[in-house]
Amino acid sequence: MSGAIIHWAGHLALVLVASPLLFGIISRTKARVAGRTGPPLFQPYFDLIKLFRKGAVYSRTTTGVFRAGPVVAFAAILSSALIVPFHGGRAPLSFQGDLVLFAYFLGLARFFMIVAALDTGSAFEGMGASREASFSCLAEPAVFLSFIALARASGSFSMSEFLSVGLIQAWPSAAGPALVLVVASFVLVLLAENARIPVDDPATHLELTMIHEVMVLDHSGPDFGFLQYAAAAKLLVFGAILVHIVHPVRSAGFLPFLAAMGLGLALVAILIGLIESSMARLRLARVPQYLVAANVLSGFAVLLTLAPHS
Amino acid sequence: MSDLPHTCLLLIVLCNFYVLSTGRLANLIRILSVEGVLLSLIPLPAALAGSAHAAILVAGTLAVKGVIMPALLMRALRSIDEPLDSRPIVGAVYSLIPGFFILAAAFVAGLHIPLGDAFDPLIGGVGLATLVTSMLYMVNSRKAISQVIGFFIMENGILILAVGIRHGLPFVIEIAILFDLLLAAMIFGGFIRRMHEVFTHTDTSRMRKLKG
Amino acid sequence: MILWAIALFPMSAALISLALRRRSAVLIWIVAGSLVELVLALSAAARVFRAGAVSTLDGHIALDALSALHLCLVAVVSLLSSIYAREYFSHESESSLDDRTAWKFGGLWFAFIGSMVGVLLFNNVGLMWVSMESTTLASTFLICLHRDRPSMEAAWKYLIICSAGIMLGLLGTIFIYGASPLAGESALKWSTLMDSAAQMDPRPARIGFILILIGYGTKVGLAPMHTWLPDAHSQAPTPVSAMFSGVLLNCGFYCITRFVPIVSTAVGDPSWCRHMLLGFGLFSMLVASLFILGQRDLKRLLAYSSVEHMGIVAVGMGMGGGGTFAALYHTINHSVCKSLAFFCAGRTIQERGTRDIEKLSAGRDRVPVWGSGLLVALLALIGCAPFSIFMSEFLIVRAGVEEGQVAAVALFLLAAATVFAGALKPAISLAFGVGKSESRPPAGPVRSAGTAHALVGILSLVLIGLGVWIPAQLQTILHQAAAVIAGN
Repeated sequence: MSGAIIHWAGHLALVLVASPLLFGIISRTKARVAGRTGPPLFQPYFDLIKLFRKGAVYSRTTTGVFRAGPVVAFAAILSSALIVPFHGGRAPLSFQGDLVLFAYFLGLARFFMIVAALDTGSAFEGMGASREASFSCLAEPAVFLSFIALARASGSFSMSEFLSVGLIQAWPSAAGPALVLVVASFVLVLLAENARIPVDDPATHLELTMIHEVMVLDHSGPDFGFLQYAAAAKLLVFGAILVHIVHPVRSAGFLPFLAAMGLGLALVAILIGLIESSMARLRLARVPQYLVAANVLSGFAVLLTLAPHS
Repeated sequence: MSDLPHTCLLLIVLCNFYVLSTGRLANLIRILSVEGVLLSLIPLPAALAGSAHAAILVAGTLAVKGVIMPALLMRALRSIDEPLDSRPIVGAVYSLIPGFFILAAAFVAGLHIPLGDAFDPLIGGVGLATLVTSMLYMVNSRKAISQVIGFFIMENGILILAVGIRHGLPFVIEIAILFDLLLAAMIFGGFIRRMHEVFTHTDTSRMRKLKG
Repeated sequence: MILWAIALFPMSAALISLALRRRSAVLIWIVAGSLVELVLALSAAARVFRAGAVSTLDGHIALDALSALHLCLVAVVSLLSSIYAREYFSHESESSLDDRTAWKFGGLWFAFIGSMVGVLLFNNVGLMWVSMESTTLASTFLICLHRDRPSMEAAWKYLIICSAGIMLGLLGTIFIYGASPLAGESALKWSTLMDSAAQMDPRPARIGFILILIGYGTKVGLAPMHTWLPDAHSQAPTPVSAMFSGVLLNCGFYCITRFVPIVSTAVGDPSWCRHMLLGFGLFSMLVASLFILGQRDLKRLLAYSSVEHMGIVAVGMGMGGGGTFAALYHTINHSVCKSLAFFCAGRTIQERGTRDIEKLSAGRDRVPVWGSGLLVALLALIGCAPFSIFMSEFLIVRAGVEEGQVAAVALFLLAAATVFAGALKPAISLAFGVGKSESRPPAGPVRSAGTAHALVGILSLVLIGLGVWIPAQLQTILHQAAAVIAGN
């Protein structure tokens, strides 16, 4: 029993400690590419501490939903992080079919963010909420299809298995091309779900171009802190999944694997930073096409894992 | 290396999806060239194993489909000064989705093509998918050049199916077909240029005068 | 050998034609070249009919009774169309056919004839396909010779639809190749395929035949793949239209009939192919008859009539038994009749300045020779006795009754009757009646040269002659060709 508590606590601690660092790496990469020195790597931690010490301002038009939104979102993201394995063994929360629970935790987080945005009664946040809702309709099937392809390739429906052990044999086998397609699709989805360029620009504040930024516009103080933390944790979770798919665990040793995971996550963050520095945001009307392309790639991967071929 | 044909086929499927989603005519012609190169790599293992016919086929397909035909089409495109976007009837999103279902159906149908046990279902699926997707694309296009591209991709699909049947048609026929395609590319290119001279556009949806 | 001469002469004629710079020279050369080709074709055909099939190049190029019959038709219609082209273009102004356009016309004309000859000469079905595709490529620019908008539109439809359709024909050929147990270069020879047909896998053979019917059927103009035909045949210059309707459609159908005995033997039951042919044929007849009713453009009327007659040929083949003989006989009759019809229609439209049937009445008064010819041709096309088309249609109906295909015969008669009803009134009004408003003031009846008299007279006599009497030699020839299709 105590072993389980340590497992859960350790897992959560890992997520909480490591996630803001990713934002720091991304900002630093973008700055370096632009020729500047950039903010310190641990700046996001300082920002979070600052936000949690501040007071919050609540509009008179909001209700309890507005106050619940950030907390529920944060809790849901952390719960979804419990399903993703980090150290080569099983994740704290794993069973057959837990990929569905994972997707629904993410969905719960998104739902509460949308509802909290709508609760403000402002057209601004409503616009962001509607964009987020419609784009997630296209992004979530891509996530599901990728997971199905992975599950079929590795033979198990638990994320702890198809992200680690089961995938090792899958890569050199006939399902290899399918996994390449899954990686491509998942990269597209990662950028979309975490509100990165080319889907959403985290640095913009123009109403015509915001999706995620505009939903969180009215939150302040600790609420905003929770939302930032949730976004960081979500990026960590997606990044961890991507690292698992590309490089399934080879040894069950705890520390070497943790180090490899950390390196992988850092590389993912640098990659995101490079993408953000080199591309412009897509026109909003083009985003559905981008997401359908991600769907098609992962759907093709599913077809390949289903088709028996010599 | 033995997996090269399979990898080429999968990349061809991705090229078809790109064709469905892109709106720029110049990129369409470039993707046609890429598909031609991929097709020419399919007999490569046989060529490396010493077959002279296969080697000539690789070189010929590479030259005709990878280089000359796209160059002819690009020349025709550059000589007409009209907007270089393809304006399909149904947009990118709504053609990618049927394209995907066509792929799924083709994979299922590829398992059932009654051409003997030596017939690789992956080749059958990819060939059928390319064929039907290109027909969908031809129907969906307004500009003459995109219809021509659809036609050439249709031909690619048919040749992929031929590869599945006993590794392709007899050598002389394949060479004859390559020459014929070259001639077709010249005729299509010249015709599009002349069409532009007469109509000052090549939008076939505006050419609806002959009826009844 | 003579086969090489027949195959290579049109291409050399095309090259020679490219050296001619004056329009009058080109127009004379096309007549001369077609005459030479006709002589070559007739001598080769005579040898085949007397002594059996000839072949060369290890059997990849061959001429048997069926292809010899079609070759003669191609050569005769090319000669007639060339003679007519000279007459037709001499009445066109200098601006519409200048030297440069005539130069292109000459080269393309011979390339077109050469590709059709290639279709007929190649025993190798793959190379036959390549020739068929090149007929499309060679003839496209003939349609849009005068660069106006309708003809460009028609030429584009023709180019893209026929090319796409012919691709399906290639897929069908691939399936037949896949069905055959042989491999290698000689596996695609028709004679080899016939010999090994009994060992073919029937399932891919069936799929292949359907694809061939749809693919080559696009070039034949069977409905529902006929949508390019009315535009292309009506917008092309008339000599080109005559060639299209007269022989190009026949070549397409020839390709289909090449595969009928192979697939019938492979499937084991000849009635399967026949049912397919019947279906497409009857559908073409019905669709064409609907569009003939109320048609206002004279050349479009003739084009839809081509669709109908190709449907009749398909129905004839589909009846089996004596129907194959009748269908081949009908092919000859239709080529002659449609050529005559287009010749007369073209000159009439040229002289009167309009294509509208309602405005073209009183033809026999205004343009005596061509107007009478048009009347004869139209009456023959819709199936009036005693013309040859009536005879061949009658033979098809008789074959159908003998084979017990009652429903097919009923639909056949329905479609034929619809066409008769729909086209009779225009035919009569085109020839007789009071002249309505015209775009050009009538300057008295037009005097035609001897060529006109000769063309119209000879063709009409042939139409009547073949209608009352099929010479014994022609009967033997037709029976020989039908035997090839039946697979003996």
